[in-house]
Amino acid sequence: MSKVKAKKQSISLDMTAMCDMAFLLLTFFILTAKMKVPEPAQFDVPSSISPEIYDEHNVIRISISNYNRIFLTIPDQKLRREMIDVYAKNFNVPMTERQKMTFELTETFGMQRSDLLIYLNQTDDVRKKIIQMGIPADSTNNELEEWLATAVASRPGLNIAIKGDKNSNYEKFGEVVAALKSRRIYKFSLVTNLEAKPSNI
Amino acid sequence: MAEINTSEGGKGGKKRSKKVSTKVDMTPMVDLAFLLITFFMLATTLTKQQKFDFGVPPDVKDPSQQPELKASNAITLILGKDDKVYWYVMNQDGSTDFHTTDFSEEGIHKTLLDKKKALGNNLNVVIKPMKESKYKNLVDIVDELAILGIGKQALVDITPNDIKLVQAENASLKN
Repeated sequence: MSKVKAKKQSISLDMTAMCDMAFLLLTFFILTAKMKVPEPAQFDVPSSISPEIYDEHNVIRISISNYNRIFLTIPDQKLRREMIDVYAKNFNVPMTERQKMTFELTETFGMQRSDLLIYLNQTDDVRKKIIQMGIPADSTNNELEEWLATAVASRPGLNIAIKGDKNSNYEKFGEVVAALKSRRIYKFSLVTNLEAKPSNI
Repeated sequence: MAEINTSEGGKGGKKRSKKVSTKVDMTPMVDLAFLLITFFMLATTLTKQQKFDFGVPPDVKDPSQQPELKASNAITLILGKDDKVYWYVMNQDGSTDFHTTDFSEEGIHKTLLDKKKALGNNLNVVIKPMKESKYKNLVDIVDELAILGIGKQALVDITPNDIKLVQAENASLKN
């Protein structure tokens, strides 16, 4: 049989279609992905069976870190601008335009007002290194309440989410709830990870 | 198609020398594309978090406006240090039997399940976390109530009396 030639098959396949599809999907995922901003502290949230997805639309988030420090996250940049304007006006805080601009770009912060004003004057590199001590929320100096008042004044109907670290003390959560209560906010969401519902019920 | 068909049929055989292969090996590109897809898929879907809505009762200044609660229908859970749960039910005469348990399957879950079977929808749960307890404890309890379908719950500040009861219980456990 001299027809061995027939066995020779081309092994190069046309990958154009696959490549097209791969890049289409890649583009989709890149565009839909939201860049995760590095957070100033660690928040390892507890798990619950609630299937509701937490999305950050029209939300401000109060986070409690594992060292019991309170942080405030305002995901919406426009709201940050509105809030800092209202805050400076309502509480007579002298702020330069540069400080306000920097605040507009700060998604999460956790420090008292005097520290915040210094923090906002620093350059990007210095700011990253500053250790944030948390927003005070105790009865002597309740700045969290001031921020909540500002948020409610700037945008009524805003949802509040609390994201607490598993090992943060209840005491801090109690302080946050007390601050919310004093602003007449009785409903809020707790951020959790998903956990399978036990099947033996 | 990435290959351009450069053969021009039968005629004009002299143009053959101009034929250059336009085939590009796309394997590394596809490899890279799929690697990135995998990364972005995992990075976007794994960071999704859940939430549940939580409500707290408004503070009542006037005690007479406090909604009356039938004591025997209410179970009080005190969340304590080191993932401990204390619970009691107020008896008619004002006395309480105090119990200590934990977050295991046989612990608070069983207690609440028994109470729910006994009282059905009349069961009220009062949660009083101590200052030393962890935030996780509260979420676990609220989650446990959600699993059991107990809707009537209230988060209440701990009273000095409760702290005394817990201390007495801890002291008696040590002996």
